[in-house]
Amino acid sequence: MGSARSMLMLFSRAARGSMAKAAAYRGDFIVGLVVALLFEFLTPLATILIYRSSAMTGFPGWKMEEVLVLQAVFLISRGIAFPLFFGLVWVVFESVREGRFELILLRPRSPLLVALSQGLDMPGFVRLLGGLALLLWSAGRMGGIQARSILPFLLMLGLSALTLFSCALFMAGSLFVWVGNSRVSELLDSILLFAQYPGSIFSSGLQLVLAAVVPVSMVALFPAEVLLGRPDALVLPGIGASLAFFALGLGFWNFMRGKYAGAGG
Amino acid sequence: MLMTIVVGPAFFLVQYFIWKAVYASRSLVAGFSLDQMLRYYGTSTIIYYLTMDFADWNLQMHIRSGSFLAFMLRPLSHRFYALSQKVGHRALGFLFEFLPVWIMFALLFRIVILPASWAWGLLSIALAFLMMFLLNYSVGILAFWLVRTDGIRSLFRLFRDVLAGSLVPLGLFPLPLQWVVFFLPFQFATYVPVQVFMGGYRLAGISLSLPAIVGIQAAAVLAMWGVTELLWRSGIRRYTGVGA
Repeated sequence: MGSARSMLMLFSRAARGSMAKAAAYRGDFIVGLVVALLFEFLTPLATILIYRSSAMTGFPGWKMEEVLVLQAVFLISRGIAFPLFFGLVWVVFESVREGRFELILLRPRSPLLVALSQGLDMPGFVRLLGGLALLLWSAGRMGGIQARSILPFLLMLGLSALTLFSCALFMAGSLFVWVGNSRVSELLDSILLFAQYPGSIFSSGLQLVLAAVVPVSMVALFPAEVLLGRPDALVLPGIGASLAFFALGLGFWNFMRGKYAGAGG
Repeated sequence: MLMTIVVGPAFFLVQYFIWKAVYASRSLVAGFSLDQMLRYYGTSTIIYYLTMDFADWNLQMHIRSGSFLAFMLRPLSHRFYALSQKVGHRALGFLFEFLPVWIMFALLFRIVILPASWAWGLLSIALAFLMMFLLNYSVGILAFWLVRTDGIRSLFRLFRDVLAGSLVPLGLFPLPLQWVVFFLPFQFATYVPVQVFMGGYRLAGISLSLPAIVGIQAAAVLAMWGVTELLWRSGIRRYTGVGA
């Protein structure tokens, strides 16, 4: 109980710190936020252009609004996971490069927890608005979403956030050895590209890999299909894969953290 | 830099699947066949390795940190220094990004990307190299007015990439927007060199021969150089080197 309260206090202080940092350069922060929201709409914009220019035939078995629901789910999942978990990557990136990760290791808390709290990006949650707006708009054009889909969808969304957290653990863990690799995020971006389109466009072998090996389909495709009321046959292996992926991510983080040598200090 | 070998082909692989799916039910989209569409993305990917730079980030970092002062004491213009830096950086990019990805496209996707006309193709890439530099450098100059330029640089990058045809070919845009894009400098950084590479230019219903569009590209680069010069002269007066 005491430990939970102390953890809550740690995150609440980190949240206040994150807001204060954003307030220091308000103008730049607001422009940055607007840009982040605009960036969110790039893939949906490409989807709309693709459907418009192909006389709305687009992707086999998917109406444009359904693809937009999938992309909205991706944005929502990222809008939750990035502000919560991905600051970890940059905290590790900077502290390992500068040789001051010891300061995190010395604290009387789990290093993962401390690094997560230091990387918390409270204003980043505003990006969720883009995903929610797109979801409301595209679901509205489809005539709404069935109420019974919402609870399973929320459960899938939780797994989606967990999958992204696992990615953050792999990325951050790699930075203990791959010191100062600022392009590690591009690797994630290139993998997540596969999460933003219907599974039906990929070959069946690749669909299986994306569902059961590296559970990229759990990030948006499976939750979106549940929300649309037509769950995928691969969803069960996908759930298992995302839990295993998380366990692997955690193991990787712990293993790589043990390799930290403080070389930059 | 070697990260590009993974990232570039992964991006292209997604485009490959997207367009294979779209073309399953039709043979032409916005006047492009499937082969042309894949070539468009392949060409735009590898041309980017030759033209990209961080001139905006570098300049704003020097201005913000005060280290720009050292450049004012040197007997050469910072713009020339930054351009030379880009030449060196992209020479490495040619070896470690362009060539490996070109080979991967040829081996994995059977797409051999060669210019329809070597002379016009290379000239157009050289002009795109300069245009990208001048566009980014102009945004870097804004740091003379603004303390932090992260937001404005991101906003600019967003518009630059969308309006240059990196997201989708500009021919997929609605016609009125194609007209707007036709008069903006961004297309000269990506869309124009890609189209020249592929052997013909078409936008907003206008078709131009290779010499005509490369000539326009050269004029646009010259105009952009003028814009950079004006911005520089006006911005340099504001520099106080407070951070030094």
